[in-house]
Amino acid sequence: MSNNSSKDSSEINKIWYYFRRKKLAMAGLVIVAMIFIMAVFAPLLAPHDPHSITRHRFEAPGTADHVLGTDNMGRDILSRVIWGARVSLLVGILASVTGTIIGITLGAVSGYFGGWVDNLLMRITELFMTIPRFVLALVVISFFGTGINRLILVIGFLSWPGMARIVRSEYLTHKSHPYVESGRVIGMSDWRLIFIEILPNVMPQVVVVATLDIATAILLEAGLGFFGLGDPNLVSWGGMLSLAQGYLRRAWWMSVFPGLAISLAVLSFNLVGDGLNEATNPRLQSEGFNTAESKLSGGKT
Amino acid sequence: MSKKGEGRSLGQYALLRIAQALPLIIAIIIINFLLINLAPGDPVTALIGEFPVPQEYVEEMRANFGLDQNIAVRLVRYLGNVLRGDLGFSFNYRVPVLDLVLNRLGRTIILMISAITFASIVGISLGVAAAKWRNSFIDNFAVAFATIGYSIPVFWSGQILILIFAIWLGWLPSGGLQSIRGDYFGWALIVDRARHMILPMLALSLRYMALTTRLTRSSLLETLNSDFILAAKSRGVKSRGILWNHGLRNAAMPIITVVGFHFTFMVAGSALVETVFGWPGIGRLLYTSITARDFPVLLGILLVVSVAVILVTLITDLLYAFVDPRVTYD
Amino acid sequence: MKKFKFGTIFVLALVFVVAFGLSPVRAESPSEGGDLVVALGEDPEHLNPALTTGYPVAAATANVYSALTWRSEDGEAQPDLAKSWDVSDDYLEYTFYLQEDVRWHDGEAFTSADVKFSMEELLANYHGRFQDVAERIADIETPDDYTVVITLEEPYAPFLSSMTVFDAPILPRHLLEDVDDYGDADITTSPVGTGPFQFVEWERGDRIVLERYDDYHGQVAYMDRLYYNILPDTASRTAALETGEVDYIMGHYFPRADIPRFRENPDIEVWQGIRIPALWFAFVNHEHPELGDPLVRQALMHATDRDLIIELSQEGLGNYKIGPMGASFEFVDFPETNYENLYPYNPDRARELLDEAGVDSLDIEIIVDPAREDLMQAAEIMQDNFRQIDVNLSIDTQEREVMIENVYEKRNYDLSMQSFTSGGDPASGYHRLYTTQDFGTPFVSATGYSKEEVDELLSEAASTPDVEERKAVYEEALNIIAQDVPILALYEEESVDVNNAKLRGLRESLDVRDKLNKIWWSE
Repeated sequence: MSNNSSKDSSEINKIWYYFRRKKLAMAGLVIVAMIFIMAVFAPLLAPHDPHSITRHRFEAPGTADHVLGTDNMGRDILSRVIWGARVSLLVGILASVTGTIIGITLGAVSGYFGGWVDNLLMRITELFMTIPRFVLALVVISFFGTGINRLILVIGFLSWPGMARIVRSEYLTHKSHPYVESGRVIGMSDWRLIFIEILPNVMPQVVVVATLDIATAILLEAGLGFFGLGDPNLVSWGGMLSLAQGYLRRAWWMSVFPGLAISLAVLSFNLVGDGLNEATNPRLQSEGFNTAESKLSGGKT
Repeated sequence: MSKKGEGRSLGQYALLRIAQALPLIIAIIIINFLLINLAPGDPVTALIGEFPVPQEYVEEMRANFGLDQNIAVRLVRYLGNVLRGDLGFSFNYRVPVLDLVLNRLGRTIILMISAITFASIVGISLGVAAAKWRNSFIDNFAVAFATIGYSIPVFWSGQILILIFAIWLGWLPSGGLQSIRGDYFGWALIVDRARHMILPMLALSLRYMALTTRLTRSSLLETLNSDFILAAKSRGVKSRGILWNHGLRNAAMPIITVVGFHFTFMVAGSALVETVFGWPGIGRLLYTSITARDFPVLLGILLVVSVAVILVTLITDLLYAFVDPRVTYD
Repeated sequence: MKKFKFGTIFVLALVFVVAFGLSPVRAESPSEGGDLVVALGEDPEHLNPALTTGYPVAAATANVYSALTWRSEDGEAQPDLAKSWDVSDDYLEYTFYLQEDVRWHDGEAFTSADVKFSMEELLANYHGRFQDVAERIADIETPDDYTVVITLEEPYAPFLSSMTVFDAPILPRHLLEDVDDYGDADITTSPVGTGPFQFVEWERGDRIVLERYDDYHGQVAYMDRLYYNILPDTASRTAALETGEVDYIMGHYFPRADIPRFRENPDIEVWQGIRIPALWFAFVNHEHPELGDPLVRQALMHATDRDLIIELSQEGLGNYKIGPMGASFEFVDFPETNYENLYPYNPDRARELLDEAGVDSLDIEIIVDPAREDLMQAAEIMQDNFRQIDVNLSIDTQEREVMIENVYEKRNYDLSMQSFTSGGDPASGYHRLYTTQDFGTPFVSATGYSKEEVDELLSEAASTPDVEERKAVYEEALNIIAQDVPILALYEEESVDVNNAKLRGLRESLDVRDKLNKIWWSE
């Protein structure tokens, strides 16, 4: 207990050891890193200003000036794809973090205390799992207005139930472990036990689910963007696809490239999540990729 | 759920689950109602057109739709109505909400069922093949397909399908429910509608196909390595028999899982797919109702969809119990 | 436009004459039969044109109902339910003589009582486009079954052109007089009119079917049936036209991006022009500390590349060389009030004006309804334009009803993209942009601009039926307005309709939606 940190680092080393042996997971990690670089260095990497409107509209891909062509307003698609990474990553990661914080808190309290608290919180969780969250997000955003902050908050507030369930089941197991029992004997407070003693041991699972949640949040953000509910002042991949829908016959490139970007981003986070999942549960090693979907369905299976 | 229980009957279990679902439904109604009613914007302005009208007309409309009452009165009235099966009257379409929603729901369900069926057939076949010939080309293909298919947004795969099959090849219509001109009857109508449904169905099924492939493969691998299969093998049962008798019984589980636990994803997916293909189902209704701020219809859709999710979850649990003898009802 | 048409016809005629060696040209004669499929972009809310001015409702009912007059392509009022009329010399009394053997689609006889009932009970209370007329009506008398006398309190120049099926549809009294709530009446969902087509069925979200009414009082329709198909998706609408599934798409539902492709298609006819002028503009909130300054508004006009906006968001279909009330009505078009002469696109000049106004940089928001793609694109272009003069314009998308609340009711906005139709006369549709308006009324000026002089001049213009006199009044009014720039007027839209090239007899009416009885198929 006193040497949590060294225990953590050996745990991380172990996970990394398993993780890096997975080709797919490593490929995912490389793509994630590339998207990160794209997002951070967008102003340097993008050949054009993504908002700059010109008369050169619907230019087909392959010209030196516009490698991926231009859209209906003569904007450079490559530059927009690069800048779009910012919104996707920002929303994906921050929404996942928001959901994770809520999920950890509720799941930990629920699993640790049990009883009526657990019952009540699990009913609420069930309620949130029952309301189709994309539909709810659509309603909320379109009624209360869009903007990147709202996107993050709404997606975050709608993506905690899966996390809460997993964390709860972890706490259910951990609370009867000897190290928790002994902590209680020496008079540690419940809060200390929940957040300082148990939490680090649950973290690997949390990171797996949070990574997969990023992928889902990116998809959700793109879906909202496709319904025209993205932030109108920022470039987003979903918004680009929404625009492309009206010009499918005239400019296929408006659809193909942002769609590829979304798919790659989602794919890479899923691959990393799967890899982490297997690395943290070495018993899954023999099965190849496996039970990430049980996490996606909120650990219900 | 998998605890050894004291043996309630399936019927009792079903009743219990329904009783548990009721408070959930009421909670959903209340949340939806508050959320939508507290939102900014006045639904009456949507109805008057593009020129100014007398203020009295606006007041009259407001009174007509009960919008002049306070929110608590409206909630109680709404709850009462819903329990009597009356979901209100659409501002926008001027028909009972229930009729409207049910009419559209049918088309969405047709789309979903064909997507699920198609996804299951392809997904299970691929999953079984992958498990049988482990590490072969087909296994690698299945793994790649499952991973990629799961990550592609439905609205993009929809657009790509339109590009390929409607625009470049010209084989299939790019959207809509049926051909506009011509009175189709009988077979011609069915064939015509089926042609219109192929692309949206493909787009919607991709994600589930990926999931089913993945789940079938992994659960089969798990089963094939399990003790009772090894025992069966040792008794000399042929491996093909094992695959079909034991394996597929277990493969039923992934489908149930996909349908049951991803039903809410499917609702979202079909809303997007319906928008891409102009399919006049509940997803499109949702979109037009959001734009028109048709509160009663939105409430109706959220309610009907949530009830559908609860029902599907319930049926899934019961099927689980039915298919897997290890599960008992508690 | 008209000149061009005339020229074309002349050249064609010459070609024919030469080709056929002076033999008489055989004109195609109308043939009966066939169906017409018209695409609508959204399902109508209902089918009662007296309760709303919404576009799809009017489109789907314009051939089921009739009105006292209709307007031909040149804008003149033509006899419809009224076979003729007298106007008193002071323009205060209009006597309409009605067609005598008109029957409603349910067989009941149509009489002057229907007209009086529709105007007094329905239109005056519920119909947005009838309000300007209703305010001026002193009395409606029906001396006999086939005469209606309408007395006005003051002359109203566009009176006769405000009697069409879009401004004043006539509904059957016998089906409505005993109804408490017009919104719930049967007729609201299954209309009974006097038009050339009668209602058959409405499959919600899918289509509306009409069939020929054989006892129609005018030219009995050539087509057997009209189908209004609801195709919310723009791509599938145009695809349906190309496959021949749809015959006619009206400009309102037309994605401009497809025009170039259609022009190359010999099976499709593209019509473009201005029929009922409509103005695209941005409201400016004059209560905003900087935007209240005319110099700043002039600067924003200079900074906006209106030509680019038309090119990108309307495929070049529009006219930006306009004054405060456009340029389509000859009597409101003056060189000295034309914004292209006063405030051409010139970012440097814009920056100078801002400096003159003491404005260094500006952070403003523009409210746009996200469902309006053309408005969104115009806003995006303005955003890009304004960056060059250090004005940071951020776009705030708000659904229509929220936008209405914030812009009109609360005036809680900086700029807001809008488009208003003229309704066929500046007095019907454009005056409301510049006259003093109270808070809270939707679809009128939301700027807070108020000048007594302008109010008086415009009111005078509305009640001056003589065109030359009216023009002089407008010139005075517009000179004031053009200096104040109360709104950022961007362009007048040029509308486009596309139809199957084998259709004949389209567009005899000023509004493309009515008088479809005149349409027929050529073989």
